[in-house]
Amino acid sequence: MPSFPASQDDLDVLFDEALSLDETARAAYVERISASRPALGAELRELLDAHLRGLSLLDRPLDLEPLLEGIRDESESTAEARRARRPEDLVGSMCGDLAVVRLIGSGGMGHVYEALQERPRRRVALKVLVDESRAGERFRIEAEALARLDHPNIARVFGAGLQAADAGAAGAGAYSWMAFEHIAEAQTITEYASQQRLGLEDRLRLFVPVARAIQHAHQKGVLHRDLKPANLLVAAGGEGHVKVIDFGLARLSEPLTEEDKTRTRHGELLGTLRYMSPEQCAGDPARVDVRSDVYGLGVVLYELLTGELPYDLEGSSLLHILETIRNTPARDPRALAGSAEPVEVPDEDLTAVILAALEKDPDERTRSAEALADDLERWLRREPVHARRASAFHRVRLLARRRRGLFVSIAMGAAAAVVAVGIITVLFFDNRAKVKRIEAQEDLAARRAAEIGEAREQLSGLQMRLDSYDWLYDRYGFEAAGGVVDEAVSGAGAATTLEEKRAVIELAVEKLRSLTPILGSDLAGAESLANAFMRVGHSIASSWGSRAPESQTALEAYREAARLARQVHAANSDDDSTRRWLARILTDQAEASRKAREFSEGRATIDEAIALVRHDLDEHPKSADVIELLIAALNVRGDLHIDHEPYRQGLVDSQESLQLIDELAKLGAPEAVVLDLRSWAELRIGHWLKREGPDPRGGAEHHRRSRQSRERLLDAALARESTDGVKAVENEASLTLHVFGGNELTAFARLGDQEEVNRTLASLVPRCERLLRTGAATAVLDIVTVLLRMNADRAKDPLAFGASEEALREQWKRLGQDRRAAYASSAREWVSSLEGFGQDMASTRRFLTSVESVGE
Amino acid sequence: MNPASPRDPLFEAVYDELRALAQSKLRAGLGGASLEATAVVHDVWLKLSEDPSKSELDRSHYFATAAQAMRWILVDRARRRRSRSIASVFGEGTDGDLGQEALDPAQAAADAQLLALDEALVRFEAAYPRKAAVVSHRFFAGLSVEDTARATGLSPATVKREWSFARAWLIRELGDKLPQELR
Repeated sequence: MPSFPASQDDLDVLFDEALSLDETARAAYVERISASRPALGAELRELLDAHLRGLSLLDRPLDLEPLLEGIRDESESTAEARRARRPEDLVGSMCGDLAVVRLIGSGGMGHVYEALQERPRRRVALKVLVDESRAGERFRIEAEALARLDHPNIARVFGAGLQAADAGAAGAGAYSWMAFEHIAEAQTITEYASQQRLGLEDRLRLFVPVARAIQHAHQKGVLHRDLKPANLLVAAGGEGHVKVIDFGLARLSEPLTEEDKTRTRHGELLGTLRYMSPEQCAGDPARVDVRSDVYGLGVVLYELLTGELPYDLEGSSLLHILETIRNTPARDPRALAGSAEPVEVPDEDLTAVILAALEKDPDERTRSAEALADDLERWLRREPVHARRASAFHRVRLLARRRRGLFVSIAMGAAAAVVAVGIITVLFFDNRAKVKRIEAQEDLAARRAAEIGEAREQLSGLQMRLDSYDWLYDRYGFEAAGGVVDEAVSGAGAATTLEEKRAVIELAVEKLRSLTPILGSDLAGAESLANAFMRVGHSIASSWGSRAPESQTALEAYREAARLARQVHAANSDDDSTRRWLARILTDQAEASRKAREFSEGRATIDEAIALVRHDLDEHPKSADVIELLIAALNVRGDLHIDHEPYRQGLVDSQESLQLIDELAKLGAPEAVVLDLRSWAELRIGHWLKREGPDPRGGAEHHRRSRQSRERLLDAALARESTDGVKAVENEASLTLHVFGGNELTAFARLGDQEEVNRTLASLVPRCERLLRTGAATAVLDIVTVLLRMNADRAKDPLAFGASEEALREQWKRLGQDRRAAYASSAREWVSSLEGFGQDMASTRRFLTSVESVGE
Repeated sequence: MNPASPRDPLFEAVYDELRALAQSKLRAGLGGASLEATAVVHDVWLKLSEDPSKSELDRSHYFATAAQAMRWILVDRARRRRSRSIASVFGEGTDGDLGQEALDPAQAAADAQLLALDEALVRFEAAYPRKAAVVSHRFFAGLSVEDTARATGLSPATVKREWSFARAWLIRELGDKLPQELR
């Protein structure tokens, strides 16, 4: 094809010049030009030839008649309709040298047509981009990448380009297009397998080339992003040869413009959503990589073998689907196999391969399409698969992680309660508080700047996602919008300062509130919203202490969550899990009421929760879940009565808790869980007895028992240090030494019983020394505070604590300066809070000064 | 000069008027005479310039728009017939809105020529936008050199020069594209 002139600036000038000359002079002129600039000369010669040759089309007035053939019969309405620029309009017209014959499908940003090419004669699938201005460049980059793919199981790209549209075509101006191999009368991979009644192994043989095709694409740097059966086609008569279509274009189906919103139908999004990876559901494109495609392959494989999706998404709302994909583990394919599709049940190995591809966390997932294909081939050859080993290991870790989560959540609730009582001051080393303190110190600012910057960046991402709420709502309705809010709330922890976090949470609450009125009777939506409100509440509870203005916001969020949850419960009053969910929300609301000092509301709420749980327990007396729920609710009720008479309610509730814990132990609850619950119950009873006044020694004894339970957990944590890490030990040490040990020491010291104080220390000190050896930095601070407490209580170093103190100083020296500063300032806070209780802090302050000065 | 945009309301009006007029003239029968673009474009100008609601209508803007609209009308028809002809080679119809009468070869040749010209003109426009506007006025609106000069604000001599170069450029470009019998 002739290209643009070599030098456009000159060509027309030279041409005019040449034309003004007579024939001989013109020939000489062209010669002269050619001698110095041969390419330009050649082009000039061509133009002069063309000038003489002429062309009837250009040289005669244009006769419209043949060109307008057919127009006389055309009704006005079709012309009108054509200018409306509907996607159908391209049908019957041309795109480049392709005759567009029918519209096959439409997505968010483009349409797909079937088109015919005369030379070479073939049928193609034509993808046309609707909004050139937004995605044109990206589309062309994708096209180039796709053209590099060359695999028998990937539909080929025949060409791509920019087409100037005519008045009747899809839109004004030019539009981008891409032509692909057309899969004639195609069936999806799942339809084909069903129709052919393929057995398990044949289905795997059908699937493996798909994984290989994806592997090929990944090697060429192309992600598919939208793997689903509809994009895995078998041509009629294709003998089971699957072709992957629609590569890399999933990104183009993301809505971009106002106009797009109206174009994509809800159902289409839902269709795609079911196959999306958890990280895609999180709406974070930066986290989408090859492992997202591995996940997509996993879903297709699952469906191919069972006829079902990995999750029960029947009748689910959009937000619910998002939540399920992100949080619910895949169902065991063995339980579903053979029902929807007459296929053999996968064995344990194959199940492990399938489930490994469906892991939520990309880091835990099968690492590549290649690894998946290899493992399936291994299975077909009856060799051991790799996924199995990995998954067994993973499950053990998962179990451990879940249990820790439980500990922390229970511990946090109780710790907060204790703070409110004012009996014990808990130094709560909140990350944000720490960052804030450090920020205040200029010499440390530079060191922390990077960390803080990173967190801020994360936060502004969340903010942006929240801002996208409005168009999401317009387009997909409240489910999707709620999902974004939810995401923002659960990620609000990324905020480095409370101000930033407050901004995110306020925005989230506002958005959630605007969603509530449009819910109608959508129960799944109500459930999702309730969860989102609950998360807002949790998020606030974990960041702000009680009595902050935020505690009112948290309470309002829980109120709203509870209101929605009651609606859901009213419609499913027989459903156990809904009832328990409501009870949990009410318990949280009651706890929030206490923090916001709305005691009477709190007591009414917790009574409602306890009534629900007791009713549940009558029906399921042996349910460990229900018993745990009741224990949690009783704890909250006890705390609610601390700030208000009668105190005795707390004692009664805690004693009932203790009985329930025994019940749990009999039901075979793990020892760690039982110890944890028991330690808190004993701690509470200790408080009630002291508070009531009748039995301070009894209270101290309960404190001792609570510390002993806790110590066993600390010992277990120390034993697991190599696997669980120092952090886990630090958390446990903080509780054991600080909360439990500290309370016991105080209780006996107040009784003036030095012997018992010594006995307590005899148990705690060796553990302090062990902690120093582990290098658990926070534990060091806990030891400092134990010492401080001893000083405060004038229990002056009765044991040979000097050695420990020396070790402490050593450890203190090794700490970074910022950590020392942070601890010292915390210690000062602690001292001043104790002063508030009228303690003599002189010796404490001396000790503190000596610790602070070490190594400076 | 500003090429008319298809989203321009004037474009819509001109497009409709040109189409309607051409349609009615063809329906009435031409009695052996040919229907030339210049006649249709001028008749529509007369009609629109008499319309009091379009009193602000500027003559040069009108002609630029009319040329663009005429090009789109013609190219649209040609593309649709070409599409139908390819589809018939594959033994199938299209979901398009044209009648299904057989295509005659002269018709197909005229379409191929026009589409080739249109494509060449797209490339030419990219390199020489002002010259392309001259082509548009001269060819699609059928304006004389003088009328083109008035509509584009160029001198007649410049219009002649620009047309001459554009014509040669397009002929050279089409030389490779057109079937032998059409050159």
